[in-house]
Amino acid sequence: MTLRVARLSEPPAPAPPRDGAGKLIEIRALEKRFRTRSGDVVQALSNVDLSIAENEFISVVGPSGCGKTTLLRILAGLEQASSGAAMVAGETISAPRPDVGVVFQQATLLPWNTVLDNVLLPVQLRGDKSPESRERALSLLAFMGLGEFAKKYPFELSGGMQQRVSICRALMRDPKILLMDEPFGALDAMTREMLNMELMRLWSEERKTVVFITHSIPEAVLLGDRVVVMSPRPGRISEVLTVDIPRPRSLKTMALPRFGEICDEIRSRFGAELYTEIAL
Amino acid sequence: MSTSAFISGHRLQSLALIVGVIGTWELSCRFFDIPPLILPAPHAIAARFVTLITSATIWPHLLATLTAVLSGFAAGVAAGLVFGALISLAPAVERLLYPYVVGLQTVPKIAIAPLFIIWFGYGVASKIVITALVCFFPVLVSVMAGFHSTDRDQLDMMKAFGATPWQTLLRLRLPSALVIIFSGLEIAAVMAVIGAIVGEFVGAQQGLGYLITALNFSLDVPGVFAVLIFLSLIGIVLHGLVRACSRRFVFWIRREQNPLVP
Ligand SMILES: Nc1ncnc2c1ncn2[C@@H]1O[C@H](COP(=O)(O)OP(=O)(O)OP(=O)(O)O)[C@@H](O)[C@H]1O
Ligand SMILES: [Mg+2]
Repeated sequence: MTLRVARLSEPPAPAPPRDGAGKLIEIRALEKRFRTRSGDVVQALSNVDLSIAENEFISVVGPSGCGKTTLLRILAGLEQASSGAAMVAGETISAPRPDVGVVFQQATLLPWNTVLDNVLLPVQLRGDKSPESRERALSLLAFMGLGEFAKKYPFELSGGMQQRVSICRALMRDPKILLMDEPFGALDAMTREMLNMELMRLWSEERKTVVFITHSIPEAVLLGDRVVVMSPRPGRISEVLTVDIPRPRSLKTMALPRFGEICDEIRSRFGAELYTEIAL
Repeated sequence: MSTSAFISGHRLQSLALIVGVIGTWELSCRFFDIPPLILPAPHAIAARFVTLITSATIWPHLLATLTAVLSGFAAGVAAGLVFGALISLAPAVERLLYPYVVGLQTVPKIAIAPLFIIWFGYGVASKIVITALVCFFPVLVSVMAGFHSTDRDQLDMMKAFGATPWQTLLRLRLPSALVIIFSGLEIAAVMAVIGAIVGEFVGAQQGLGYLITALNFSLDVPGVFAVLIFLSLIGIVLHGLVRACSRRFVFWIRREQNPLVP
C-alpha cells in the first residue's frame, strides 16, 4: 500500500555527509537565550545535543516551558541559536528551508483562502501554479480524508479537520523533514487517536523524518522511534529513550506491557524532576 | 432557513418598535396638546416631508448635500487608504508621524470648519473638503491599526514556508487588515454626513444643513424634522453600502450574534 500522491519532482540528492556525521539533523551544544522585556535573560535551551537519522520519528516530551517550541523553531529556521549549531544535511540552519515542512500548534490557515488554496500556499509562494501541484494538493487532501472539502473555507471545518489541512500544507513541497509542534494538543482524545493513526500511516508510506512535540507521553511512545525527554530551567535534554516496540503499531499497541513500561520510565523521569522541584 | 426566520423575526420586532414609538408620540402630542413649535406630531412632519418633495424645494439642497457627502467620503477614504498604506509600509515614517496622527485625531475637525469656508468659499467645495477631512482620520488610523493586527503565528507560518516580505504583505497582512479597515470605513460613512452638515451650518447657500437653518429661522419645526429624515436616510444608505461591501469582502468574519449577558 503506497501513497499515490503525485510528486512534484525528484527529491534532491542528499548532500554528502560532512565530518562523518551522516545524520540528517545534527544538533550540537545548542544554546538559546532570550532577553525578556524586563531585561533579564531566560536560558530557554542549554547544551542540547541530538542526532536524528533519516526516516526517524522522534517524539519530544517535557513539561511546559522546557524549550520544546524553541528547539523546533530553531530547526524550522524561525529562530537563531545563541551558540552551538543546528544542521540539516550538514548545512547550518539560518533560514526556513524548502525541504522542511512545519505543522504548528494552531492550524494557522488563512481564513480568506479555500482549503485547496491553503494547501497550495507553499508552492504558490514559489510562483508554481501548475496543474500538477493542484493534483498533488487534491490527492493529499483525499489521503487525509478531506477530498470533498477542497472548496470549503477553514471556518467551515472542525478543529481536527483544520489541523489535517495544515498537515497537507506542510507536505505540499514533499519535504524530507516534518516538524510538528503539539499539532493535536487542542483536540479531543478520539480525534487525536484517529489523527495519530493517520500520521503513522503517512509516515510509513512517505518515509519522512519527523520531529513531533507533544505533552502526551503515550502519544510520544506510540509514534516515536525514540522519545526525547526534556526538562526545564534551563531547558535541556534529560534523556533519550529508544522505543523498542516493533512496527506496525496500532491503538492496540498501547495495551502491550512493554508500552506501559516505557511510559512509566518516562513518567518516572518527569516524577524525579517534579520531586526535586517540590523538595526545593 | 431557521436563521433567516429568526432574523426576519428580529426585523419584525424592530418595525413594531418604531411603529409603537411613533404611535405614542402622535398620541401624546394630541393628548397633551403639545404646541407644534416645540414638538410637532408625526403626521405634521410626514405632511411636510411630502410637500418638500412635491414642491421640489428639497432637490437642489439634497443634491448639494449628497455631492458633498459622497465626494468628501470618496476623497477622504481614498486619501486615508493611500496615506495609511504608505505610512505603514515605511516603519521609519510611521514612527515619525504616528504621534502627530494621534494628536491630529483628537483635534475636533469640526471646529476648524469656519476656516475652510474662508479658504474654499461658500460653495460645495468647502463642504467636500470638511467631509473629506473628517473621513480621512478614522480611515488612516484603521489602516495603520489594521496592518499591525496580523496574527504572529500566521506571520511565522508564512516565514516558515518561505514567503518574501511582499508576499506576506499581499497574502497575509492586507487581508488581515481589511477587517479593521472596514470598521474604519463604517465610522467614516457616519462622519461624512456630519461633516457635510456642519459645513453647511457654518456657511452655505444650499444643502440640507442650510435648509435646516433656514426652516429653523422661519420657525418651521415640522420642516426641520422632515429634513432630518432625509439626512438620516443618507447616513443609513451610505452606512448600509459599506456594511454590504464589508460582508462581501471580509466574509470569513463570523459576527457574534449572541447577547453579552445571557
Ligand atoms: N520570544 C521569547 N522571548 C522571551 N522568552 C521566551 C521567548 N520564547 C520562549 N521564551 C521562554 O523560553 C522558555 C521555553 O519556551 P518554549 O515556548 O520553548 O517552551 P515549551 O516547552 O514549548 O512550552 P509549552 O509546552 O508550554 O509549549 C520559556 O521559559 C519561555 O518563557
Ligand atoms: Mg510549546
